[in-house]
Amino acid sequence: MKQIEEYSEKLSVLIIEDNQGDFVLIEDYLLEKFKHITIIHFKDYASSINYLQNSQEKISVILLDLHLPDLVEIELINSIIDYNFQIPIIVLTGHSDLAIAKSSLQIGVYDYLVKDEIDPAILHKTIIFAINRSGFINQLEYEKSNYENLFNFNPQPTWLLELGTLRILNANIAAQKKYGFSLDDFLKMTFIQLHPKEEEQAIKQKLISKDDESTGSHFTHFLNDGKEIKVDIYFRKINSISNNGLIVQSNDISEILNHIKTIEIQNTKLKEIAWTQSHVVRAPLARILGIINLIEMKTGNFDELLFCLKQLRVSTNEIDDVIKKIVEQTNKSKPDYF
Amino acid sequence: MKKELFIIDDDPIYRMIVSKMVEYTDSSLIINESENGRIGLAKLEDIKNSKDKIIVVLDINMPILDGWGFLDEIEKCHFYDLDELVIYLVSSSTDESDILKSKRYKFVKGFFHKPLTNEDIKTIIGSN
Repeated sequence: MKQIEEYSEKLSVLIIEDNQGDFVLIEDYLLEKFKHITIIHFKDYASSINYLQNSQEKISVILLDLHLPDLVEIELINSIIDYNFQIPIIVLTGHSDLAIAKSSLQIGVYDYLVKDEIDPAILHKTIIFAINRSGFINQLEYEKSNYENLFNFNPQPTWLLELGTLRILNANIAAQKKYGFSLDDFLKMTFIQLHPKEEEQAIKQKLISKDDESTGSHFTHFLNDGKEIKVDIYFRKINSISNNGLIVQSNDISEILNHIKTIEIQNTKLKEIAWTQSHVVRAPLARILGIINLIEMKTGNFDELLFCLKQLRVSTNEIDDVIKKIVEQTNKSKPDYF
Repeated sequence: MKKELFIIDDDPIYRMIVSKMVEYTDSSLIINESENGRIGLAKLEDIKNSKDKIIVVLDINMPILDGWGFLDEIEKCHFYDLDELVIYLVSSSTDESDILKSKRYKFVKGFFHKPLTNEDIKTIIGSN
């Protein structure tokens, strides 16, 4: 109760009440309990709506009598709620209308007060509770719209799927752009339809059986124009009161795979070059060294020396050719985008 | 006992170098040159059951039948019942994996990198 006593924020209360006596009484109670309060008073429905639509004043709470000269009871409540002013409404009622007041709670009225039973403390408590509750509800609405924005403006294609059937319940803007399907197109599809036939089992296994182990690798997705992309798939189960679903994201890794392929081709080339170094370059070099060994063993015969020199010439030319070839090969292995 | 040397190598100059070096070291040796494993096998088959000392200097990288293929085949043919057969591997490659692979063939007596030195030649033809 301490918190309630200390309520000192600025408050604007709109009282819609045609009975002057009732109004004065409520006004007195309010002024007694709230320090910084602005009270606005209208006596009928039409002028109240007119005020709500045009006023700059931010109304904290509406106190509404159920019998106005131009509209009454449930129709009155419905009409005001339809405007969706986002202001908590507290109904003021006599004993005769108690049933209506109670049922109005189901269509969006925050609370009701029986006029004969109102005292300053009850009025004060009811208003504070209504404002607090409206704060929570607004907070929830903000959160909801924040999450909707997170979904819609996420740059990664993201879907909301029905658990089990994998029917698409929602698709964000990135998914629509990337895949070339409109939201309406997506809503007629299941997520499986994005995959080629041979991957149907695997994607079902991943998303329905949550069997991540068996499907570690990536998937193929078809875009609306028939183009194929390679994707990684991420998903989480989400729970809500109405239905359980899956939130699924795809990450296009086609380009990364292409890069990896390029690197692999280069690696193969490098291995070839290493092999060439080890075998082809070394062969004539080993021969040259062998010829020198031979000369060192026996150099007496001039003809034999000439023969050896000729062989040296052949082998050195061969090394020269090999080196030229390696340089050529190395240049070829440079990727195109360098 | 006669000694016979088989040089199996696709490089004619290298075959010439080895045979000359062997000739300078021991001119009594009979020298046979083959340009690939297939030809080498055929020549060994021709002299099967021979009691002479047969030394094979085998290159690894060759067309048609390379050194590894030669080793597999000759093992399959029970070494043509050559009692005194010694096989040495030689390669111009300095590839470590070739040396490791050669260890799988228990009957290979040694592994040399080209070029063969005077000492290598002595080891090869002087070995028992």
